[in-house]
Amino acid sequence: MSVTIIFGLAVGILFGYALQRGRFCMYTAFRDIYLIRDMTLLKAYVLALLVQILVVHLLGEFGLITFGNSTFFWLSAMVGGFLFGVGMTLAGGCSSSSFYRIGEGMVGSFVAVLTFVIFAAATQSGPLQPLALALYAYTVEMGQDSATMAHAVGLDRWLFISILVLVGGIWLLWAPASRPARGWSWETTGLAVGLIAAIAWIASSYTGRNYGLSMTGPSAATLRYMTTADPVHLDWGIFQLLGMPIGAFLAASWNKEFKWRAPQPQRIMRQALGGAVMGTAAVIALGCNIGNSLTGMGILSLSSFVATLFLILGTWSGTYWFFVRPMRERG
Amino acid sequence: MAEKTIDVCGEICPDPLTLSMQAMKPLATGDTLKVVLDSPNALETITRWAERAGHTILTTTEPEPGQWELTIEKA
Repeated sequence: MSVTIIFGLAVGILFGYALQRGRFCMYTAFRDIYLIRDMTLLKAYVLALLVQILVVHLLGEFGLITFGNSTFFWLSAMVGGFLFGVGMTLAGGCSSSSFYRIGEGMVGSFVAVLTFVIFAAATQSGPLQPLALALYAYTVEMGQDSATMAHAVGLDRWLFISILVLVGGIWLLWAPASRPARGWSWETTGLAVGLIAAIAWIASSYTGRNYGLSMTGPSAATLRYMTTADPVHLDWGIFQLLGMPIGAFLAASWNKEFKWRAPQPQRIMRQALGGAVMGTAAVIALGCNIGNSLTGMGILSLSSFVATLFLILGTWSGTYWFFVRPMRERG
Repeated sequence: MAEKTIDVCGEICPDPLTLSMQAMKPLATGDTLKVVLDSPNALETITRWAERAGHTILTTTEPEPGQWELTIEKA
């Protein structure tokens, strides 16, 4: 158990630190494509993804970690992904940024995380579970470890990865991006997040948990442990979660960015609603922005790819409906 | 030249950005908008928005830890 605690906390603290310094938020990354035609944070995300894909698959080739899935959960990925995008918009951030912003002193993010945890648990094993189970029934079985993007387009895994790295790398070098006002550059952020995501696989596998960075499952497990005191629920993921606001707090404090902050009451309630929607949606989609868009895409999961596409659509729809449309009506 | 100040301290993403966009709209070329904010994320997104829109960031100051003032000249 001490190894689980130490490895989980260590990766969580590193992750939280990098997220805070890089202001890494997938809601912001996807939203800014639409709202201000900027792709700076998107570049950080793409770089993190490419680094993770390469390192994780190399680790797999050397037998240090194992991964793969056979089932394409197409409907739950679409529905959950879209709803998660809407939830992020209401919460003012994705699940990982809500966790790290607690470390910056943001009270509204703490509220969003609370409702995220509650509704993730409610959907995974509580009264909302029937909704998720109904959507999980719609699947395509693709064969042993074949529910991947590579297999879907009929390419060998390493050829697919090579094409991704080539195309992604050219885009990263070509597209313009701003220099940061204060935090880390997108290059440093992407590299750090990608490497931490890969290290997470090794650290987690060492404790018997065969996955990388994740928010949803550990969040639900945290509530189950808090209400039962049953240590069976304690795993690497819970300590990774706990480490994130600690790492972000260290980063914010050392850079004089920690400050207690809270929005207007109505906005806090909106964040609470957003957290709840994210929690339910993440269980439906079998992952949040980290579980799907970073870790799942990192192993080329087809379900994660579809969930991410619909997450982006949900983000743009939510941003239009809750912010752009009212802004236009005000003139 | 007109100067306008908005305080978005405590506001949650994307409100600091959308409030800044809205405040800039009625200003004329050469007018300045000062945004007082306390979100590290908003500092980056508002800076990026201003640059993408062709405006000029005149100054970025930190009157106290965790709070910033961005002065933007409208293009």
